[in-house]
Amino acid sequence: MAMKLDQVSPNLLEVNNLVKYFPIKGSWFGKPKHYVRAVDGVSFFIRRGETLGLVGESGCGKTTTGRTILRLHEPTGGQIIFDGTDLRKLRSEELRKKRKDLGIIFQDPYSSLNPRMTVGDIIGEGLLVQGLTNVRERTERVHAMLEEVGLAPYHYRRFPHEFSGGQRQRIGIARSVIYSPKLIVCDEPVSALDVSIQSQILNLLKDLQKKRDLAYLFIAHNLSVVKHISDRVGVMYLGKLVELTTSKNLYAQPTHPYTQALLSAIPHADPDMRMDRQRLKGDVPSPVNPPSGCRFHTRCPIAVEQCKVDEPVWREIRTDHFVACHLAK
Amino acid sequence: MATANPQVTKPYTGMAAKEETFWSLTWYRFRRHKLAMVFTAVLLMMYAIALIAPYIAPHDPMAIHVGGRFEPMSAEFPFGTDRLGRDTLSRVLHGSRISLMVGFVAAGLAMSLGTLAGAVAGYFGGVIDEVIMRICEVIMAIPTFFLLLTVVAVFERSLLNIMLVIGFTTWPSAARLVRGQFLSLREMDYVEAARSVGARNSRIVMQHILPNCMAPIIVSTTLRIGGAMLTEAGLAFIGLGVTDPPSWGSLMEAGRHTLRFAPHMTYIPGLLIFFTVLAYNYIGDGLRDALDPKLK
Repeated sequence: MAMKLDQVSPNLLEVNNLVKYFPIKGSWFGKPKHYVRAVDGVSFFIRRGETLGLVGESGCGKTTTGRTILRLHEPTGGQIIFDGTDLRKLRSEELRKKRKDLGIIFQDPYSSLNPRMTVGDIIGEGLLVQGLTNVRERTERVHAMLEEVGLAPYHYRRFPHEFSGGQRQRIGIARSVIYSPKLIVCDEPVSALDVSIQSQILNLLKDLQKKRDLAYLFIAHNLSVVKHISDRVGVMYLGKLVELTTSKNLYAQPTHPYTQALLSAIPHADPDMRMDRQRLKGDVPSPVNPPSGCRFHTRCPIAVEQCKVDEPVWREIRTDHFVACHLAK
Repeated sequence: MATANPQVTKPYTGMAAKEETFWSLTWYRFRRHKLAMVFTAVLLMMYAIALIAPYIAPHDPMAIHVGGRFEPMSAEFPFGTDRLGRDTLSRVLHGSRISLMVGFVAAGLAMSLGTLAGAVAGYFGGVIDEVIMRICEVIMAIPTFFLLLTVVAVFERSLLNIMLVIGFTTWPSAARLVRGQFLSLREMDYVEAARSVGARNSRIVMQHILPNCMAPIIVSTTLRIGGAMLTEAGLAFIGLGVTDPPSWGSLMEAGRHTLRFAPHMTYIPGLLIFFTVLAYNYIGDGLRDALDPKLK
């Protein structure tokens, strides 16, 4: 494909102060009294064709962030500028059309495929609903796609239950990639797979990215996987980004104390290696009632008085290195 | 790129030489449920007979045979005659058309209405859901049988009215069933996936959600047919059923006055009702087992 050089912003996606609260239903007809603050003011951008990793422990809002960007969850606040348009301002039909530039790959390869549809219909659905009604043309493209993700043409008429987890994940990838979107949210695409299959799927994702100039928002909790595939990595804690920088930077010089603790928890293959593990005390606080000031201050080894009061600002301490910590230099 | 599958000319398909679809698997499992299979055969036969009843009935169901009242079973009248000398077999054959139709139409009506309402409520949720479910609760508070009595007393005592009333008073429970299915299925990843590629609501409902909740809908329909038949029979037994031609329930009603010396008039239609309802229950049971995804 020809390169578009002029007047194209380098950022495919810009997310500004994204907020997603889930109401906890109170009494009948009553207004909800409490909210789960799953995503609470997250800002980042993704460049064309790059992979942005998003890590954090369970329940920190990674998945919600991914789904809210695609408006599979309705955002509570913030801006999602995709390719120059604010996705939040689109009406449902406009959004539906815009979806040809967006895709998602799910974590669970079992619940993400409709058991009553053939593989061919599942993969071709995007093309069909986006207007490619010609059966022969669609079938041809699905066949080509099957081959591209490492499946065979005769799998076209099979049903999902006839496939293994890894193969199912390939089907899920094919479903999103076939209509050539610009951005794909990969929601822990390898967490449910065998380690031996994980690398195959990761390589497949990399190949497809190279060939089709895809940008990925790669959500995962496995730090090694994220390091392997991402250009830049963001770290989330309790609904907020705490640090975001290039892959190399993050692993070489983590700045936020949470990132440091997270990285020191990576197991090493060498049993003789001496490790200086930072153990965090306590549990993650509830996202219904997050701590005041810096949300990490309850568990932070270096917290000072200021951290309990003031919320740290999301700032760029070096080129391409964002962090939200009062003490970061 | 991973080439897990090089060019294969003749794919090894293993045991599944034929395509293994959901319905072929269901049929495979259903066949192993012996009682359900037997009763399916019985029921199919009943429907076949009902369909051709006018051609195989030996007598006119309304023809009076003077001097032949309360005849016991004989070669000319296999099921005997009633108090006007009418052939019971012919009357039962003609009555089967009504009894079998009542169940089918009333349950079909209830399930269609219920599925529509339940799907809308479950898929869209929110205020729409609240409104539909409150309407359901109001209708569920109306006792079917007493509404039937009222309608039959006030309006024409017609088959159509009976079927309509049974259908309109029983759809809310079907709606609840379907709504529950929709509530859980709409959160499935494959539904999100369909949305993410740009599918419209109508497609998501028809292609992704409805086919996946057909199993409980089918089972419930089957069980409801038996229930609707019993309601009609009950109404007929107290003398408010259709009599021209009479349904099985009406035949029982006609026979109960002479139960002591001509019991065949009551127990023949009674047994027929019993076995038909039993058949539907066993078929529902077999279908439930066959459609249960947990066995898979």
